[in-house]
Amino acid sequence: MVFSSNVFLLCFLPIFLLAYFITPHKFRNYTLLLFSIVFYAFGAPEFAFLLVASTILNFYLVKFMDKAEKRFWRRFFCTLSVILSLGLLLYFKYANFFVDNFNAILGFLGRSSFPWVKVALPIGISFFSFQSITYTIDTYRHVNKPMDNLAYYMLYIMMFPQLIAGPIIRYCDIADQIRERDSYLEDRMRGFYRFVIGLCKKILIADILGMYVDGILGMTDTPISAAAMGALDSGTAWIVLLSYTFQLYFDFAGYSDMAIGLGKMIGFSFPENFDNPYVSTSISEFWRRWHMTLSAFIKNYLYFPLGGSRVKTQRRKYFNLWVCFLLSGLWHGASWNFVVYGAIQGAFIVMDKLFLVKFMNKLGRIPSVIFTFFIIVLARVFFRIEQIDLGWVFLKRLFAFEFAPISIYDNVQFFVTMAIAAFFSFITLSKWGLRLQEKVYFAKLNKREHILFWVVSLLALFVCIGALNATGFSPFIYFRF
Amino acid sequence: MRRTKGKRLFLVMFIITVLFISAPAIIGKFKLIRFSGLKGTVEKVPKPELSFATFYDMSFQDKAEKYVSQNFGFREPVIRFYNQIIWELFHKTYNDKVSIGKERWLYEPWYVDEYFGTINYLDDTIKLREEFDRQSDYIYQISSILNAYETKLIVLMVPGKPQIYPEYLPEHKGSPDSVTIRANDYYTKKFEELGIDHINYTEWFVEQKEADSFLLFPQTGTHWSNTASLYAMDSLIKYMEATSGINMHNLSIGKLHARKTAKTPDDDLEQLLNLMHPIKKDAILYADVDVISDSTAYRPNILVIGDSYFWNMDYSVPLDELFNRHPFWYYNSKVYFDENHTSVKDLNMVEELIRSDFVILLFSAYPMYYFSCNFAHNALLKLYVSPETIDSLIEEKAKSIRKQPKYMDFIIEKAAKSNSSIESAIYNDAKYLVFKNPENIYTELKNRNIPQRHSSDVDKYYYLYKDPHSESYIRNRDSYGDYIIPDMETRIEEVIKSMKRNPEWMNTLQEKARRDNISLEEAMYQDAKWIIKKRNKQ
Repeated sequence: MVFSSNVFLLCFLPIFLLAYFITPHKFRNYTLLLFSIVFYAFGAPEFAFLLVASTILNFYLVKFMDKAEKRFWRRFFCTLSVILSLGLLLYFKYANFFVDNFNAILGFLGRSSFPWVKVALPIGISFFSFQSITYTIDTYRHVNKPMDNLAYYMLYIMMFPQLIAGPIIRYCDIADQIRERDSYLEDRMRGFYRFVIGLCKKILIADILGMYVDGILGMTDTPISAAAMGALDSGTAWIVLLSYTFQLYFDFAGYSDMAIGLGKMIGFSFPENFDNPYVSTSISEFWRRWHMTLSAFIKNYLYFPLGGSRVKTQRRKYFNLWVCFLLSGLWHGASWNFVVYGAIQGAFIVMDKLFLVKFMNKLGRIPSVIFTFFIIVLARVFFRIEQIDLGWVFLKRLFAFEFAPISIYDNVQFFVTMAIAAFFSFITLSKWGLRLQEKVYFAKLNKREHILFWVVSLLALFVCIGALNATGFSPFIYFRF
Repeated sequence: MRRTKGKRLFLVMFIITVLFISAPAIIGKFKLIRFSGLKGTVEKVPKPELSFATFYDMSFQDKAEKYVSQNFGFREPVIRFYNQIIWELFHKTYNDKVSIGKERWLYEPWYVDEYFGTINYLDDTIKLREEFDRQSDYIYQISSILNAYETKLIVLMVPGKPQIYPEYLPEHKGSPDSVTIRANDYYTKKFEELGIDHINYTEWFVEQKEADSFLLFPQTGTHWSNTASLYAMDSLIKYMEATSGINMHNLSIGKLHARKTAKTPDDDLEQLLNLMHPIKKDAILYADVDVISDSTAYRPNILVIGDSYFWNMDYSVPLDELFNRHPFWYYNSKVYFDENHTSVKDLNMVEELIRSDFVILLFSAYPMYYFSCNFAHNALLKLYVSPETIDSLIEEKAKSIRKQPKYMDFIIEKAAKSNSSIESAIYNDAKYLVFKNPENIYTELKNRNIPQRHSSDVDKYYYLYKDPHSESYIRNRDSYGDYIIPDMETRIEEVIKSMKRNPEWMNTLQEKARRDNISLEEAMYQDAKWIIKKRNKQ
C-alpha cells in the first residue's frame, strides 16, 4: 500500500486513526502493530510471513545475545543476527544480479548457464533489514537495552509509517518512544500538516514531473529504444534530466514528510531525512542533507567499523569512503548503473577530501552550489536509466548541443511545476527562505497560524485526492529500493 | 486556563480532521449524498471479494484500489474541483479523449491526428490506397445489387472539425500538407468514377463557413453542430427525392436564434472535461424545425450505418415524421431504433438491407479510414452467399483446422484462455477465416466483376417486402409505407413462382427436400408458408 493511494487515504488512514485513538493508551502499540501488519500484507502478502518470522527470530537471537555472559556467545548471536538480516537482503535483493552476472561470464566462456528462478523483491526489505541491524548492533554495543516485549520489537521493525521507505530509524533513537511517549494534540495537528505537505510534494509536484519524464524516457523497466534515445535533442534531454532530479527529491522527501507526519500524529518523533540537499556546496555536504538516515546508517554501521578516519593511511581512509559510497549505490538497486552511481559519488567524496572543498570555498557559495548541483544532476543519469549503454547514449545527447524548439504550449503545467520545484529546492539559499522553512516545519505556531495551516491543509488534501483520481498516476520511486 | 482553551481548540480541530478524512469512505459506503456523476466511459469495477486466495494473489488489492477510486463519497466534486483548477491555470485536461485548442476550442484527438496525418492506419499509403479501392469496389457491387432490388445506397461523407476550423487547432508535430491521401477526397473521386450515389459535405461546409451564418462545429463539441446536421438532413432528403423520384415529407427550417448554452450533444467534449462551471463561449445559433406535411408524400424505410455524427441528426431532426423506419447501426455493431435487435451480428443483414428503401452510409473524416467498419465486407458476402453455403464453408475450414496439429495446439490454448470449448474455438476461427476476405469465396470479386448469382435470401426477402413480379401484390403503399396484403394461398403461390425463377434458391430447396425426405413441391410450399408468416409478423 502506498500513502498516495485511495485505499490508504480514504480507507486505511481514517479507520486506523479512529481505532488508534479509541484504543486505551496502554494498548495503542498493539493496535499500531496490527495495522502495520495489515499495511504490509496488503502490499506484499507473500512476504508478510517472512517479515514476521524473521523479525521474531531476530528478537530472540538478540535476546540470547544480551543474556549471554561470555563474549564469544555475544559475538556469535550478534553475527547470527546480522547474517540473518543481511542474508535476507542479499538473497532477495542481490541474488538475481549475481546469478545474471555469473551466467554472463559462463556464457562468455562458452559454458551453459546456471539454472535459476528469479526471486521477487519484498518491498521495504532494504529498510527493515537495516533497522534490524541497528537493533542488533546498538544492543551489542550497549547503547540501548533490548526490548522485553516481542510486540514492541515487532513494532519497531514494522511500524507502517516508516516500514517500506524509511526514514531508517536507529533503535537507540526510538526505543524509549515505543515504550512510553507523550502525545500532544498540537503535535498531532503538526503531524497532519506535515503529512499533507508531503502528499502535496508527491502528488502535485513529483507526479506531474514524473509523467513528463516517463513520457520521454519510458518507464524504468520498459525504457525507450537506443535509437529513440539517440534521437533526443539536447534541450529535451536536459529538461528531462532536471525534471527527474526534482521528481526524485520531491517524491522521496514527500514520502519522508508523510512518514514523519504520520509518526507525529501518533506521538512518535522520527528523524529528519532531508535538509535542502540541492543547496549543498559539495557532494560531501549533499550526502549530509540527502537521505540523511541512510548516510547516518552507513557512517555508523559501515564506515566506522571499517576504521573510519582512524586508519593508518590517508589512502586507506579514501578507499573506505569510496567503498561505502559504492555499497550505498548498490543499496539503491541490484544493477550496474547503481554501482556506477555509487562510484561517481564516492569519487567526488574523495576529491572533496583532497582538494574540491577548499577550491569551492574559494569560489564562494553560489558557484559551489551550482557546480555541486550540476554534478548531482549528471549523476542522476545512472540513477534513472538502468541500462548502462542507454545511459551513455543519453549523456552523449546532453552534450551533443543539438537543440530543437520545445513546445511549452502543451506542457504549461509541467514547466510551471518545474519552476515551483526549483523555487522550493533552492529557497533556503535566502534568509527569508530559511525563516519560512523554520515556520512551516518547526517553529511554534500561534492559534491563528494553526487555524490557517489547518484550513490550508484540509483544502490541499481535497486537491490532492482530486489530483490522484483525475490523473490516476502516483507510483513511488523509492519503493523498489 | 489558556492551556485548556488551546487544548480544546486542537481537540476540535483534530476531531474535525479525522471526520474530514473519514467522510468520503462513510458517504461512499452508505451513499448518504448522491451526485449526478461524472461524464465519460469508465469500466465499473464490482465490489471486490475478500478471500485468502484473492488477497494472496493481490487481485483483491488491485480491485479494491479501483473500487474505492470509483465509489468514494464526494468523488464528483473532488475531481471536478481539481479539473477546474487545472483548466483555469493551465488550460489542461487529463482526459486523453479531448485535445485543447486555441481560444478554448476543443477537438477530439483522433480527428486532429487525422488532419495532421499522424495516424498510421496501414503500413504505407499504397496499402491504404488499395484498401480504399477495395472498399469502393465493394460498395459499388453492393449498391448495384441493392439497386436491382429497389434499395438505394447513398454514402454521406462529413469532414472533421479540424478540416473546417483549423485556425483553433492545438500545436501539433504533423502537417496537413504532408497528407498524401485523405479518405474523403479519395472516396469522393472513386465514387464519382464508379457512379455511386454520395454527398461529400466538405465543400458545402467551407462555403457556409465563409458565409459565417452559424457554427458548423460547436466550440466545445466534436461533431457537426445540431444546426449543421439539420441542414445536412435537408440536403439529404432533396438528394433522396432527386435520385429515386419519390416524394417525401420536407423540412421547414425556421430562423436562427441564439442560445447561451449548448444543446446536447453540441458540448459533448466539454462534458468530458468534468468541470465545475461551463466554458465561456459565444452564443450558439439554433433553428426551429418542422415537417411540412404532404398527403401524397411517402415515408421511406431507411437504414443508417455510420458513426456518432448521426446522433446530432437524431437530436435536431424529427426522424419519425420523415421515415417509416430508421434503424441505426452504430459503427456497424450496435443497433438503435429497432425494437427487435440490439446487435448487428444478431440480425439478418440481407433482410434488413432488402426491406429498406435507402441504405445510408454516414462516416466522418476519421472513421472513414475504417470505412464502413466491415459493413461492405460482410454485406457483400451475405448478399452473394446463402447462409447454408456459409455454414458449409465454415465446416470445411473447421475440418481443415482439425487436420493441422499445430493449429489445434493453438486452438486448445485459445479455448483454455477464453474458457470455452475446443469445438466453439474451432468454429470461431473457421468463421473468422471465411469472413476474413469475401474474395476467397467469390473469385469473381477479385476481378472486380459483379457476380451474376446471389444468395437465395435476397430473393426471399425481396419477395417478402417488395417483389414487383408478384402480380397479386398490389404495390400500393399508403403514405405510411404499408402494403395491402392478399389472402394466404395466393401469396404462397406467388412466392413459389419467385422460387422457380431463382436457380440457387431451387438448389437449396432440392437439398432441403432430399434432407427432410419430402417432395420438392412440399419443400417449396413449406418455405413459402414460412416466408408469408414472417412477413405477417413484420
